[in-house]
Amino acid sequence: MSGALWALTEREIKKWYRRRIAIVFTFITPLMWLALFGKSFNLLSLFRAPDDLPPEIVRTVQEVIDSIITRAFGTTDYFTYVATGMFTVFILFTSMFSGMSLIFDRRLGFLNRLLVSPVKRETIYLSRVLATVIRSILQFTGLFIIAIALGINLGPGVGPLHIFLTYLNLALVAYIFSSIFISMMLRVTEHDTAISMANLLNLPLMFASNSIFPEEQMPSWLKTVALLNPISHSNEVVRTLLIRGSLEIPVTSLAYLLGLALVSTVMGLYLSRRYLR
Amino acid sequence: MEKAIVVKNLRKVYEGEVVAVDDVSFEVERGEIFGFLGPNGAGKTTTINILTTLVPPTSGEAYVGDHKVGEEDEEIRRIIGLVPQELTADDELTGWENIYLQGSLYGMSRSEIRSEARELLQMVGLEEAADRLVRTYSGGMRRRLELVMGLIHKPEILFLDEPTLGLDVQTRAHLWDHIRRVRSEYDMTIFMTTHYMDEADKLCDRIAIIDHGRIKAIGTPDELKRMVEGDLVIVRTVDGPPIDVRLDGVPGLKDYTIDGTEIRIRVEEGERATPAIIESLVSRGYQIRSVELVRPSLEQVFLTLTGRSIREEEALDTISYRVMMRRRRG
Ligand SMILES: Nc1ncnc2c1ncn2[C@@H]1O[C@H](COP(=O)(O)OP(=O)(O)O)[C@@H](O)[C@H]1O
Ligand SMILES: [Mg+2]
Repeated sequence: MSGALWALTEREIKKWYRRRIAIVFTFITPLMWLALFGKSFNLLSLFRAPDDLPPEIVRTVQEVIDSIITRAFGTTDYFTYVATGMFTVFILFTSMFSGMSLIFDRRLGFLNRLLVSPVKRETIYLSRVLATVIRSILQFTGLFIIAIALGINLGPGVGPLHIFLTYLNLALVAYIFSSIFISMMLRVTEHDTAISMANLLNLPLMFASNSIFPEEQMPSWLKTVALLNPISHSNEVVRTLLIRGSLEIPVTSLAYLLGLALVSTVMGLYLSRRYLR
Repeated sequence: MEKAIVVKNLRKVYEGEVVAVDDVSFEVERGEIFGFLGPNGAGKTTTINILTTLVPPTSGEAYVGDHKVGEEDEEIRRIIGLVPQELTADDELTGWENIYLQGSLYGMSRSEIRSEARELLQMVGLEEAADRLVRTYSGGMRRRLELVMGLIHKPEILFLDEPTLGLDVQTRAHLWDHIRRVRSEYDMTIFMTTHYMDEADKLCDRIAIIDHGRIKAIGTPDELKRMVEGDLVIVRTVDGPPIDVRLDGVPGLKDYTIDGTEIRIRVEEGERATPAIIESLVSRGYQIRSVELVRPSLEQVFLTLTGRSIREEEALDTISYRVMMRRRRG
């Protein structure tokens, strides 16, 4: 029944692009974070060598500072650091609301239309996940273009392959988040529940990751959370590709994300068969 | 495969207290239009939801097209169509988009859907509007679209839950025509619910009267009416009060009253009694001005069986409530 899977996915995508104004709004939050952290609080400009010293000493001190900063952030440009971190956060924000359409379909009776048909319950679930992945990727393209316009510093040697792999990685993250959030919404009938949950989780998930600050500098409890946070692992991958311009994607991060994808798939398929009625 | 639907001692209790369906048993023959007639909250939708595999019954058994509900749900889903009480087409999509989506749920290809839908859309007069967003449809148009969507895969058994709820009289009559044509052209079994007396009367081959989750009576509309009072034959004669009316030979005679030149005769079956009544009056030399056969209405039947009538406002309340819900979400 792949026809049904695509038809259901297409419906989600169609409804999404017909709400053009809503799409504009989805960019506001990540842009705010970019502007606030990346441009206004330019953290790293605090670390300047004092300029009342002899020039060669200023240069040496600045080099030392820069090398320390680079070790922690991977770049001396904080905007680039935050922007690359914001990509995954943006995917999270998009995916968090992916269960909403299911709640509305349940309330408006549309879901019953699907449930009385022979279509597999897993198909209904997967169509939502697939639609979120497609949506996230299209929206990410928008954010990526904005980040370039705002002056993101891609590392030397970043080519089409790096960008393609970044897309793959973000699609994987969208898949993980949307599977989890849609699974959580399978039995929910109130859209307020979804909104409250998203509001409860989004900021903590963002701050308890290396999106705006490296985890090395965090208190140990937060560091533990950040290390378990899939956002951190995705950021590792994105920054390896886009800041270092390297294809040596950290194996642990990739394995962690793939493992999560596997677990969330198994969980989502099981729960949709059980609770989608 | 004999019966389209067999239901035995079906019961549904919601959340441990609300008894929505209470020990209901009935059978639906292949090819008939079988109707559940009852007021709001009688358990009509709950019964449909059980038969269409949406809601599990608390106890009892149900078979749809020989498949047991709860055990062979996938087989049932393949052969049924549902036109739900609520308007559930996606109003952010066009008519065609809704139809394509619906057909694809049943594994139909785009071209199959297209050719099938064209005929249906033509039948219900919706071809023109099919490319518009459903949001711009009137209530009647939406009902007709729902009907097309329920029929797109040519189900063996079609469930219609209050198919004309909230429509004006004229639109309802049109929809009845469509439903009759669907039945004869597609040769399907239709299980429908309604709280409109005239709808059940005009459309259904057999009716079950349901109230508070219990079936009060099952039969053809005529059988049901006969259960209560029998037919009334009203004869008006040209001259004088008929003094010595003798109607002994009339089959199924119950009683009669005389009022001026008018004789009101209660009989079991009007068709059988009328010729005998006329003959007996004519043979006595009375000139007959008119003969009228009045059948008791389902309204009376319902009143007698349940002790109350189905009030219109009840139904209207749910509609305005739904509209409100939609607005709030809109
Ligand atoms: N999901 C539900 N949970 C609890 N009670 C319900 C539910 N659905 C229906 N009911 C109750 O069951 C009864 C029958 O409802 P329903 O089958 O919708 O009647 P009808 O379709 O004849 O108007 C009503 O009292 C209604 O309030
Ligand atoms: Mg109902």
